Amino acid sequence: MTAERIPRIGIGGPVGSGKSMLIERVVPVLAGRGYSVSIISNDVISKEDADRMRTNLATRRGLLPENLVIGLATGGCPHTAIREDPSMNISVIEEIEEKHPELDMIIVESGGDNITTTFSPLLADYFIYIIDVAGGDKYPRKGGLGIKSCDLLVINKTDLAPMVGADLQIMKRDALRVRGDKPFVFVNCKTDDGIPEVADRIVADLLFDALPKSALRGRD
Amino acid sequence: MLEQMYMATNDIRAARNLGTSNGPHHNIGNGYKCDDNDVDLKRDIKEEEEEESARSVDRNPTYDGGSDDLDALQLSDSLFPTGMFAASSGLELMFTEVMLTTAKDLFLLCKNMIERQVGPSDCVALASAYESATCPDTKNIEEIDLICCSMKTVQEVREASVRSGVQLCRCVATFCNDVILTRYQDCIARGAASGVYPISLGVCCRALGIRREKALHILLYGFVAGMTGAALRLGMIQHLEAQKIIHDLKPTMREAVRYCADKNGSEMWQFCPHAEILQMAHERTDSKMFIT
Repeated sequence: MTAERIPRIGIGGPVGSGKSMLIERVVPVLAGRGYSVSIISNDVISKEDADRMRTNLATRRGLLPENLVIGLATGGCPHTAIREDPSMNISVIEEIEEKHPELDMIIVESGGDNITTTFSPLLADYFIYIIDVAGGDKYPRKGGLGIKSCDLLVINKTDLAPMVGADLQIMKRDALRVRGDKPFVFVNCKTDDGIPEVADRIVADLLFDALPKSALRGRD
Repeated sequence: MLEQMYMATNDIRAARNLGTSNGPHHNIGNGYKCDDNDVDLKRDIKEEEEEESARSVDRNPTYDGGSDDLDALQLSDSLFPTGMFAASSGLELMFTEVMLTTAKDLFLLCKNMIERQVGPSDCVALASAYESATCPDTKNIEEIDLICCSMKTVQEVREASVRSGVQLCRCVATFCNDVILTRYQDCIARGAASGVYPISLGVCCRALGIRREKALHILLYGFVAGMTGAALRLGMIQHLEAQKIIHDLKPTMREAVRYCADKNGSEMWQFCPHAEILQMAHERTDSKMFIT
């Protein structure tokens, strides 16, 4: 409980919007730049997301230890676990901070939820909200606390726009209108389009361009 | 009608200004003569206020500001952040495996677990920790903490209880400055105590001045509300049934509190092997909503 606080990212969004896929795509970019990451996946009903990320990122690619991908059950209340009562997540994070001070950041993935999802600032220092175009180009316009208040809005599955009749220009216009100066980015997690930009944002806005701890240790 | 009410209100306000310096016509003691009507009105108002005051006393003859009720309500509220909303004590598996399906099944499970597990172990641990915090005897709190934690044989149940307890202490410490609570948190930080929920609750309740019996009510009610809440979300019971179950379990909860009255930490016991085996099976379940 006395360990140094490790910067934390919260990633929320509706079911199927691509939260886990975004993590699977961004973590390799961050790891390639020398940043070490742990992932906590808040599951609504299964450990599938956590298991898949563990397999793809840890077991197959060795980008992080397997025990640093952790699945948490939320009793069917994903929004409660990250906003009203984040105590279980905070407990697990503190255990990680105690055992792994070498980490550069901890990613907390929310269970799939609605557009009012937000993270407690005590749980996450930086909040990414992800939606996808398949939900319709109305999504940014609808607002909601998640879309309005997040630090970075990610709009995923841009390749599906023509197939579902979603107009990316409308989504861009509405995102600008609803969010003002706060950033948003279009991504396609299948092709990695926009993923480096998400990583850039994390390094700049969460870590304030700090070098990885491993690099700093090397200097010492 | 509204206009009449408004006028009446203004009349009362004006009448209440009698005897003050708010206006020359009402300033009785300052050279202005008060007519007979004003004197009568003043007397009426005074009598009315005295009657109102007497009625208030009659309505709440023993009201002491709520005593420890508000503190107890705060700790037992589902809004209080201990993460317990994510626990089902194995109920999820029992339901999905079609071992328990009805409100009566749930009632019997809760009753059994209170009588054979929560009551004789967690409640006795809480009561003992409470007494030790009152003495105070930090060493004894540490001992009871470790016994209580070791009696939670199911890993995920044990870990969830520890996490909830630690967060409970942290939260209470943000608004309650208590030396025993601080010492207990120090014990947790250096590994001398686990922070397991019943002990944390006992220490926090004592710190807030909540009576021991109410502290036990909080523990038992939290367990029952957690189980029925989990059953609701699983679709096992409906909301009216949940409240009936809670009500029907009140005698069991009261009996558990009576049982603790003359017990100390060395008398903790529990015997719910079937439930524990199912809780262990829940740990290995791939698809689940609840931590436990």
